[in-house]
Amino acid sequence: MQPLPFTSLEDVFNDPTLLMKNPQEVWEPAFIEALVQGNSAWRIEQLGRGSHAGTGMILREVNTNGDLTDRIVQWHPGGGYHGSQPYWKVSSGKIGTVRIGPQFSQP
Amino acid sequence: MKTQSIRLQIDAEIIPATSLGGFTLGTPVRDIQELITGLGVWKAGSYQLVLPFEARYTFGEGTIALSVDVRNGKIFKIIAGVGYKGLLFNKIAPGILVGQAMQLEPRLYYSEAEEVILCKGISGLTLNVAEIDPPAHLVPNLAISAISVIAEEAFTASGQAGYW
Repeated sequence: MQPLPFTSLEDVFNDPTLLMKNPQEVWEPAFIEALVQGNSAWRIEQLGRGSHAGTGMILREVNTNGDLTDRIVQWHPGGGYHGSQPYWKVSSGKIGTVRIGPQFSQP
Repeated sequence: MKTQSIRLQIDAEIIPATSLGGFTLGTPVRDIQELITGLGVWKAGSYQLVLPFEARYTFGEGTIALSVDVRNGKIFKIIAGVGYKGLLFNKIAPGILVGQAMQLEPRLYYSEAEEVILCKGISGLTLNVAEIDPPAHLVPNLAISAISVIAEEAFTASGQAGYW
């Protein structure tokens, strides 16, 4: 199995393009889930806030008080506005919202 | 046995973090089971698991839907779709353009991270467009496909674990 080129989501916020596995595809959500497994600073969203049926994965950062920070990492399976290929979206107050996938020009 | 007189109200006011369509957030699904029984069989509507812990009950063609946290059986989200007659803030209904809604209520803004329209200073409220993850600059020209009221306590750290 190809190893991830990063060891934490902190690395991803420093360089979201690390989520590209190769020029044709992004890392699958299982790799990222394994990365944060057992890490109380990140939680996987279990209930949706909007009307769309959930098909992707949303990871939210939680601070030591149990409150959410502004950092979110989302995986989209594709099929929406941005085409059929899966992609990642990384958001924070510092970097704004960055989409990572073969269909996007990389930042 | 507890009996309830909850009924669908297509013209009920949309009250953030509280109620919509005659339903109140936090209500146990057992209290509305008479409305749900027969959905998709002899009653117009449907039901599905939209996330592993989110059961969605849709009435009619989607004018009203509600989501239940299957871990505790409580309604945590109520959704008004196009055709709903009740209003948010006495002026906004599903179907109008987002840009028009933003003119009527300047506190509305699109969160590209959350992929919903939120209202500054108002909790327990999200508005959606039909498009999934549209770029922010396109959103004002899209129609509001749904207005949802949500139980914020379901989105705390313990709430996301099913304890709320």
